[in-house]
Order: sequence, then C-alpha cells, then structure tokens
Amino acid sequence: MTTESDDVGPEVTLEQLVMSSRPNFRTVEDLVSSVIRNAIVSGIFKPGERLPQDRLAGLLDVSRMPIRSALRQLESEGLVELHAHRGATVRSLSPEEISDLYEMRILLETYALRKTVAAIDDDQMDQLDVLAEAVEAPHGGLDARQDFYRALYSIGNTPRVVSTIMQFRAEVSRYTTDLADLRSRTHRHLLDRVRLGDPELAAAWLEAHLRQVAQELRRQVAGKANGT
Amino acid sequence: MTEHAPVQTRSMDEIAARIQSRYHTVEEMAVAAIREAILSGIYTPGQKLRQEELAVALGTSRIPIRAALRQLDAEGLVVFSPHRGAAVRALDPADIEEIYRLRVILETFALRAAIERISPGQLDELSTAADELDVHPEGPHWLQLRQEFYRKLYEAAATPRTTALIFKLRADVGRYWLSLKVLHQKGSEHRIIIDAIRSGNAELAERWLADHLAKVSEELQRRMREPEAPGRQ
Repeated sequence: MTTESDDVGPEVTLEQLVMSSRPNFRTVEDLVSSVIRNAIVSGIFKPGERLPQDRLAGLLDVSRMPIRSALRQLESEGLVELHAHRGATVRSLSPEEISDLYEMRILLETYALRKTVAAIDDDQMDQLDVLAEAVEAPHGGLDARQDFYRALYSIGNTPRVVSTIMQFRAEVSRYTTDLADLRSRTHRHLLDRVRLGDPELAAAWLEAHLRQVAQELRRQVAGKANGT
Repeated sequence: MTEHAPVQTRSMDEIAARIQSRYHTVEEMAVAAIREAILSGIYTPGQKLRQEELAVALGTSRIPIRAALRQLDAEGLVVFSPHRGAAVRALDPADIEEIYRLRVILETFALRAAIERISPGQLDELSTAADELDVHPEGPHWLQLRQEFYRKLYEAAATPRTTALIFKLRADVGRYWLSLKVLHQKGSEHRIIIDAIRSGNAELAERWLADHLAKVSEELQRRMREPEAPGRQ
C-alpha cells in the first residue's frame, strides 16, 4: 500500500462518494455541500477545475438550487470560487496563501495542542490510539484522519479554534497528497509527544513539522506554477 | 470598505434599498443585507429571524431567504434549523473569551508581520488615519475610522487569510458591544501602535496588544453577566 492512498484513495470516485454519503444527512443542502467538499478535499476535483453542476445535480438527484447554495457555502469556506457567468471552479491557492494558512495553522494548532496535552486523561489517550489505528487501516482515508485530529484538538476545549483548524486543514490537504512520506506517520509521532505530557515539547515538534511541510509545499506549488 | 460599519440608527429597509442593486443574484443580496443587519445591531443576539418578514423587507420569495440563512449559519452569525427556524446566534461569556484569545493569537502575529513589512507609503497612510482618529469626535463614525486604521495596519502584514479571519472575529464581538449599547471610549491605542512601528519595537507592541485585548475581553464578559444583558432571556 502506498502511503498516498491514506488520503486520496485514487479508486474513490464521485459516484462512490455520493453513495456512501447519502444516508448520513438530514437535509439535502447538508448532503450536497458535504459531497462536494469531500470531493474537493480528497482531490477528485483538482484546484482550478470547473465544477460540473449539472452532473452533480444528476448524481445527487437534486435540482440546481441546492447545488448553488452548497457552492456558496463552500465559497465562504475558501474551497470554491464562483464566477458571475462562468459557473464555479475549485479554488487554487497561491504560494503566499499557503504560507499564510500554514502560519495560522502553526499558531492555532500549537495553541490547541498545548491545551490538549494539559487536559488529556487516560481514557482520551486510549480513544486517540483507536482513532490512530483507524487512520492506518487500509481504507482509513481522509475521514479517519479528520476524525483523529478533531478528537485530538477537541480535548483542549476550544471549539472555535478547532473548527477553524479543521477548515484550514481541509483547504490545504488537497495540496499535500504528494507529500505522503512527510505526513504518513505524523499522527503517530504527535501522539507519542502527547503521551509524554509536556505541552511545550509537543508544540515545538508540531511547529517544526508544519514548517517543514509548508516549505515543501511552497516549493511544489511554485514549481507547478513555473510549469516544471 | 464600510459594509460592516457599526451604525445603529439604520433600519433593514434602508439597508435593503441600498444593497438590492449591487448583487448578481438574489441570494447574494439577501446574505449581504442580513449579515449587515446583524453586524450593525439591527437584529440583536438571540433575536428570531422570520423568513416571511425578511422576504417582504428584501422583496424576494422565501427560497433565497432560506439559502441566505443557511449560509449565515455556516458563517456563524445565525443558528438555522429546518424545523425550528432561524435566530441571530447568541454568544455566552465563554465564547467571548475564546474569540478574544483567538484574536490575541492572530492579531499579535499580524501586528508583528505588519511591523516587519510595512512600506514607507503604507506607514504614511497609517499615520494619516491615526491623525484623523485624534481629531474626529467620538461616535459611530469614529468607530468606522478605527476599523479603517486596523484594516490598513493588518493589510500591511500581507497575510490576507489571517486578516480576513481577524475581521470576521472583530465583527462578531463588535455586534456584542453594540447590543450592550456601551458608549465606546475614544481610545488612543492607534498612537501606541504607530510609535511601536516607528521605533521598530515589535515585542512591546505585541505585548501591549495582548494585554489590551485581554482587558477588553474581561470587560465584555463582565457586562454580559449583568442581568439585563442581551442574549440572556
């Protein structure tokens, strides 16, 4: 198994995403925005790609209206760009935006992690171990990774910080799928530091790790922009 | 940009009339109008938002109103449940504390970046904005000028995503200050910031900003706990 399929699972299609998402949502709007969000975050729709609204409406068996309203919501989350007459595309990030997003992730995630390390108890540690195993399972995928980090940071009881972190993670994760080597064991390394119980040590490790990823990513995005 | 300016004397009708012509779609217009009405204190924390009334005020059907309320729910300004209707999101003192802590983290970062990166031209503009703050009388327009000062300051940081989040958080607590009908003291924070930039003393400015925001946070939480405070039915 390549570590890349941890996140993207190239075998996942939009159709499968629709099928697996359908039973979990109460309203049409929630279903539609969740499917499109997952499709963008997991790389089914690539940065800059035009979003096929008619095809999505057909697949989800809904009218164009909930599609439009989902796209507006995703626009406010930073994942989609709406154009007056040209429909909607997946938002791409400039190297500067990636830097800015990672700077914020460093600030917010080290803050949340310090709180988590200070507050965590044995039961929560055990739960995180279970979630970490789910990330490593053959079809762990993006959801398992999101569940792990949401649970980890939620222990610190800063809900607004956590939801902001999760949104930023969603925005950049589609760019990091090629950095599998760098990120494949991150959750384990992080968990080891959390277990040691020193908030500063854990935060320092996380900061160094995120800086390394950001640097790698900037290089990659700049490279692509230059056509290499 | 004055779209989110805190001016209390306006009505939804006035906002609707001004905003209706500016947007491509009815939903965009409805989102902008309701957002402005919430941020400017026309709709107060906890207040029910009735879809029929909004539709009449904005001259639309109920369908775009529903879509707009959903989006504002995602932005955190509205709580919208398909069955129980919509209301302006109310915050409790713990929310306020978290928002201000978040602001301390983000604004000290942006301030440091601004002090490092500000150009002579930007510093001139910022100084002019500070001079205006000194001479302008207290009131809603002064608050607007202060908003502009901070926008110029944080734009100099060249961290657009951070700045956008900062202003979202500022607007969210700003509507609480409005709902408490507290007369804003005409402060002189802008002078301290200008001085710090001129002397290049980022650390001092950051420390001052963190202290200042912590004090403001405590003050707002204290006022919210008073029995007549809004959002506490």
